[in-house]
Amino acid sequence: MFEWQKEKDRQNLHQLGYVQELHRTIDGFSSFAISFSIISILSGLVTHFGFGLKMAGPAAVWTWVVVGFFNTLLAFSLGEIASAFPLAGGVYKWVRKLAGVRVGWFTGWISFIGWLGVTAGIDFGLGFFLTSYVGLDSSNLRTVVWITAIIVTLHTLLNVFGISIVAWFNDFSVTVHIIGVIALVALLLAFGQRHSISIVFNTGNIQPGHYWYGFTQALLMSAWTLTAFDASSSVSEESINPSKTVPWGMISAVTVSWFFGALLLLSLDLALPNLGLLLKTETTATLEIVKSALGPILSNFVMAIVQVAMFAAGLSSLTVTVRVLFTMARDDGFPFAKGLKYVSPKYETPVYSVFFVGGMAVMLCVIGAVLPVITSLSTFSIYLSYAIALSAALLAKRNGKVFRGDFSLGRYSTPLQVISLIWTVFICLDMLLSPTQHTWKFFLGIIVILLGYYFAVMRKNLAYKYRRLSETEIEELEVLRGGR
Amino acid sequence: MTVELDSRESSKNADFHDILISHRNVDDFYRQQGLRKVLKTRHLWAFGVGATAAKAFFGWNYGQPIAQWTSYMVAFSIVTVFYFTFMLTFAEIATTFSYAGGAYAYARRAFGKAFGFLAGITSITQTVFIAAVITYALGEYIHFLSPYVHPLFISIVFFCALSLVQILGIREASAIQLLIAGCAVSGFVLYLMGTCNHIPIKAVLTQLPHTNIKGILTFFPFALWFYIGSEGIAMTAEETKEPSKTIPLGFLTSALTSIAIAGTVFGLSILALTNNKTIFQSSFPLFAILETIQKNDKTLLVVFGALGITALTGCLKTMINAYSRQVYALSRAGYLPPVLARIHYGRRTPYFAVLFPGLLVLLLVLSVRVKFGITIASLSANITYLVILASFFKIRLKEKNRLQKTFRVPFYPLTPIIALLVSVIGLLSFVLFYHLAVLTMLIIYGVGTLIFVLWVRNNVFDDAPEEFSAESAVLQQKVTVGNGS
Repeated sequence: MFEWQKEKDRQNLHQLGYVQELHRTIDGFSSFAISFSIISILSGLVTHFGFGLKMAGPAAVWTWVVVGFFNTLLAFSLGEIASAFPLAGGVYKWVRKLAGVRVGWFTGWISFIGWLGVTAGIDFGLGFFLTSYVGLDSSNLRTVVWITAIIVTLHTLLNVFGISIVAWFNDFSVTVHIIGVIALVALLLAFGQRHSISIVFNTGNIQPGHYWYGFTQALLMSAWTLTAFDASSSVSEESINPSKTVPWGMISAVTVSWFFGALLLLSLDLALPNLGLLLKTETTATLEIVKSALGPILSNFVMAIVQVAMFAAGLSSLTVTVRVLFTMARDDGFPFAKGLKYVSPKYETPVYSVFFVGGMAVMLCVIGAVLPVITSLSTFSIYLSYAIALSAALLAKRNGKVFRGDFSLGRYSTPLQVISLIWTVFICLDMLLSPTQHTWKFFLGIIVILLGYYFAVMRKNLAYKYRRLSETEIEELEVLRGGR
Repeated sequence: MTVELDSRESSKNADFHDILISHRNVDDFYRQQGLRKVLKTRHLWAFGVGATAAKAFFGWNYGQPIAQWTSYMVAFSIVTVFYFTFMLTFAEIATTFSYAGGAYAYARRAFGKAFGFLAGITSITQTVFIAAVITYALGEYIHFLSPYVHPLFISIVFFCALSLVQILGIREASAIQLLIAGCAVSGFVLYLMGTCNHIPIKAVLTQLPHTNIKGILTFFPFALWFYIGSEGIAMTAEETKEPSKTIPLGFLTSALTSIAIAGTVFGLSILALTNNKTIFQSSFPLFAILETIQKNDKTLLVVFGALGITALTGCLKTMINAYSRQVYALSRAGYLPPVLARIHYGRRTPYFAVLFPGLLVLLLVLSVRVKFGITIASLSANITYLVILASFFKIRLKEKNRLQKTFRVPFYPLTPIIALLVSVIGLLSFVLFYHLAVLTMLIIYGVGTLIFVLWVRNNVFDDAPEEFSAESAVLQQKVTVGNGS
């Protein structure tokens, strides 16, 4: 089935100068599933709802409306680029193609940091929830970090020894997310309603003069949740007809998440108990709301489903982060690239990359220590990588470079990309300038290290001229590597 | 395997391919029998779990008084061992003969046309009686939750709606079944969470009743009730994708889930009941127990009540699917009027095979008492198990190379022997203590034999599709061996 399509995809990849090494098995639904699982409304919204409440009161739900609208436009804009460059590595490879290896290398690193933050953020959030769920003190950071480390270790081991389980979990994750949201929303609407719909206009205890400032801070809740949808593009070389399935996978993941997320936030708002008490719990606020609305047994049951969804999202996220790292290591863009790009013939996974990402994720939790710090760093990095990709695309167009895949926005392409660029820059500034977090300090430190590494090592390495392979060489390599 | 072959081309070349015995024979068989192949492991799991979930919810407490609960526990443990060993054996034979006929197809292959017919009748009796009991229970249960609803009316509404879903198509039916099974399992998890901390362990340990063989045997049919009907998933074999992989996996995952559900429900309920024997009289013991333990948590009770409906619905859907495929397979082979084997052109479902036995179910709902229905269903299931196991041994011994290589029952012959021994003990318990049920089954067999002699014998096809396919596969194997490849 789809053999003719796979042959066409192979020819397209050759035209981009790459060898078909991976087997194309991912269809449209799986492409959607990957991004939908990593967006994971049950991880992002459930862990950050308390933060949103603290910053903007119940009206924080409007941040979801704003972010959902602009991120749909962003998904369309990035989808067009993904369609033109259906290559594994996503943003890194797009920029490399559009703006050269140097900008590509920096973007790849920024994207990797963002993805690492996504993984750490999801697992740290689950760590907080699980600590509270099993009856331990979630305000004790040491306990939370230990539990998070256990979760990350499980994800790491699954990625090394059970890649087939990871693939199964990825599809299962979609079911758990949809069932989890429907169950939670239906139960909260049926049994937990305490307020009328006007609660969505309640700004909490925030002083009127400071409200809009708080609202922009609360954007973190929605911006972090509804991001990393470029996951579909990271598996472009394994997708069937990626020029169409990848952009539509990204767009559908964003819009479906937007719809279900809106329902979830609305039901949580309507079920809000005492706001003052709730704000003290911040990260586990959702757990308190669900408990007070549904009673101990039912809430434990529903939150167990939510935590399974979080676990699945963390697993998918770690898998994609490893792919991003592996793609860069394959181009020798990382220190110790030889080890990082090593694929175990027994387990068919880049084992050292998996351990590296797992270790870095735990380290980020230890250094970051506060969930919004990790997630804002992640949000900043991911949106910055999007902004660079959009700028590169706009500049390339201005310079007369033509790139077009099967998914094209036609005359709306440039306006949409400009709006998306402005939006991503706005989110970056919002995350960077926040006085409640210390994102800018973190990012500054990372940039300093990155520049040091660039000038010390990479400037020479990147000066190496990448020769485009001829069609005959590509064919020979494919036969050698068994990619066909 | 390609199923969408050009029918004109394949019929034109039929003789040629019959001589050659190629894959096309098997392909043609699958194409001609016409059911749509869409089911995956998760769907088989849903049909299997759906079949057993309702039994854990209803009917298992209709036996002897709870005072002898240790005897019941022993009976339950023996039946659980039987069920697991049987499902392992069944997985092998069902993988080999992946046809809609189930027990009928295996018995015909092993013992001939007449036994095939009697096995088919037993299987239909079992599924129709289970469907009738569950339809009745569904109405009673909804009436119990909401007294304003008329039980019989709602029973018929549910039954007709589920039959309609079955006619709509296997894809729709299996998707709904998956949802229903998921909800049913959630209900049992809630039950576990709501009761596990409320077991009076000390009281239980100080009041252990005496266990005796008679007690164990009298509880046997009700212990068997937990698991019967799950073998109905074999009826979907022709609608399964990659049956050599999907069937064993679907059977084993559903068996393990069913054992986990039945074990948890039975253990927790029996232990919780020891201090409050009046609950045992309830038609719906799980709800009554949870209501007693968690009386202040109204939200939990409402949700659990709603999930209980899905548990009963899941079983009913599996039974409708099972008897429709059994009737369809018998009609296709000429045992029943050919009209029952008609398949809807677009939806590829045997709609008459859904509707006609459905009328019989409705008739039984109006006329049969629950306890009698349960014993008849359990007895016919027990006989079905015996037939399947006997067929398995016969085929294994006579046709050594016939059974599937992809899945083999572990620890052969110990595993099927255990299953066979327990099912013989089961049959003994019916003969000793449930005479009315035995008599009823004898009457059914008498009528069946009469029908066979008077009508079936002259109408049944010599080349039943199942047999034809089996022969093709054997010959194909011989040709391959002969070619030295």
